[in-house]
Amino acid sequence: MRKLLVARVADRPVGFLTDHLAEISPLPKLYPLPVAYPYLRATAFLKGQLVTVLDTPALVDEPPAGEGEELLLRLASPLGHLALAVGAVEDVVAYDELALREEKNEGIWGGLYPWNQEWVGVINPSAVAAELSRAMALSVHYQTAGRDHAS
Amino acid sequence: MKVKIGLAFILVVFVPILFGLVLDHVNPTGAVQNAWLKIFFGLLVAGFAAFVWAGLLTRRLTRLVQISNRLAAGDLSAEIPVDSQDEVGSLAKSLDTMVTSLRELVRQVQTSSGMMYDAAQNLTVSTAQVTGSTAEVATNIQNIAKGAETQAASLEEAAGVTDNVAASASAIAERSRSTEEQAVVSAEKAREGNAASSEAAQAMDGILGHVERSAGLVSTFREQAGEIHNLVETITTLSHQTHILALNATIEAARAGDAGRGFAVVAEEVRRLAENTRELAAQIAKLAQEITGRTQEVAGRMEETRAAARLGQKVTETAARALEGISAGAEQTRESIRAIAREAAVQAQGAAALSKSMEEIRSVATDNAAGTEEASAATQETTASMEEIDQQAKALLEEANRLRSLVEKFKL
Repeated sequence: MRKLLVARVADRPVGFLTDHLAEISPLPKLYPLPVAYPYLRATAFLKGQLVTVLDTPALVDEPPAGEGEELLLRLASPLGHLALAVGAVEDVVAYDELALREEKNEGIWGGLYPWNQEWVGVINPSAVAAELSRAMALSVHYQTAGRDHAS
Repeated sequence: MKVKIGLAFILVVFVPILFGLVLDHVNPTGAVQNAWLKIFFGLLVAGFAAFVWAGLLTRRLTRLVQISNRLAAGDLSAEIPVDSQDEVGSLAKSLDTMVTSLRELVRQVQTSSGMMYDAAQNLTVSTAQVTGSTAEVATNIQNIAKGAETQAASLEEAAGVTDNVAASASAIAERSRSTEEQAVVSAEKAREGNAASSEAAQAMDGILGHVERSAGLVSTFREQAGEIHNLVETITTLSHQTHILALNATIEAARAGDAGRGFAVVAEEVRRLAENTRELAAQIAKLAQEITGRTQEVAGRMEETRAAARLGQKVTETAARALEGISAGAEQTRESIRAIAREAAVQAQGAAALSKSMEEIRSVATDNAAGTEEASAATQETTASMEEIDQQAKALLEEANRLRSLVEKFKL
């Protein structure tokens, strides 16, 4: 039975399918990365495993959440080394795939799902990984081009 | 005179007769012729004798006339010869006596006129001095009269002031009596206030004790509220962890697929339970926070109440001490007011006596002023009289001078 977990990212409710999550834990101590790549926020240890914490507000085009984040959602395998910092879990509802509107499934989004008389964007982890890869590739390209130009 | 008439008769009668007898004796025949002759010769002889005698008499009278003329001219130094005992001699003697008396009289008049002149002169000087002194005395008396009037007016004002002082002293005495009554009432009120203050102090002690106990209870309650808050935090943490655990269970159940359907239901129930628990815990936390806040507020109020009670206790103690002082002061005030009343009564009596004396003095001063006015009038009359006397003295001096001038015309 699939369920949709609605968590608050910054001031916006965002949906996560429980199929895409490995576990939920309180926000552990974060270790910011020295070289900031797009969407990469920090690293953290979760049950002895090093995970990369993504900048969720940046992913959903929201301003930084600040101290409102309290939970860490680790994605399911094969993206188990990635985790998303979110605010409080607002609700857990049963997921009906037919209710998903896929008209807005561009970028990291898998579609819109109705929740509390509004539409909640549902995160697609594969799209997140692709966006992360694309952004990192662009970043590496720009950095390499910069070094070549400098040399 | 009789002798002179006798001698003249003899001379006229007997001399012719004697001459006829002599002729008869010489010629006895011629009696008738002889008789006429005898008469003729007798008359001739008598006439000659009368002529001689009359000449003598005239010369003596002439001398007396000359002397009289000298006397009439004021020459009293003439010596009047008294060389006979006849009428001319008597006349000369009388004249001499008169001259002597007149000379003595003139001498005395001269002496008296001189003395009178001197006296008149002295009188003039004295009169002038007396007139000046009288004028000065009149001026002084007028000044005294003015002073007496001023004194009378001042005494009248002083009498008025003294009356006012007497009235004020009486009013003070009356006020002092009423104030003494009020002071007695105040002292009684102060004693009652002191007793009430003591009771209030005891009550404040009780209140302070109650407040202290209440503060202790509130402090305990605040600590217990803090413990509740801690427990609620623990419950919140547990519910949060339970919620996360339920979420993870939900994830695990979803991962298990159909096998995890029952588990998912349980996980959902657990999540809801955790959610409710968290909400309840939040409500309890909110309530505990409110209780804590209210408890802190109550504690603050209790602290303020305790401070106020302590302050009230101190104020009550201060008020009690003040009321004791007020009571003592009221007693002293009553004694002082009583003394003031006595003194004011004495002062009123003294002021009344003083007013009476002032009235008498004023009456005397008024009489003095009137007497001084009369004296001034009398002095003015005296001055006028002295001026008249001065005029009379001057006239007397002139008369004395004139008399002395007249008398000096006489040569003694």
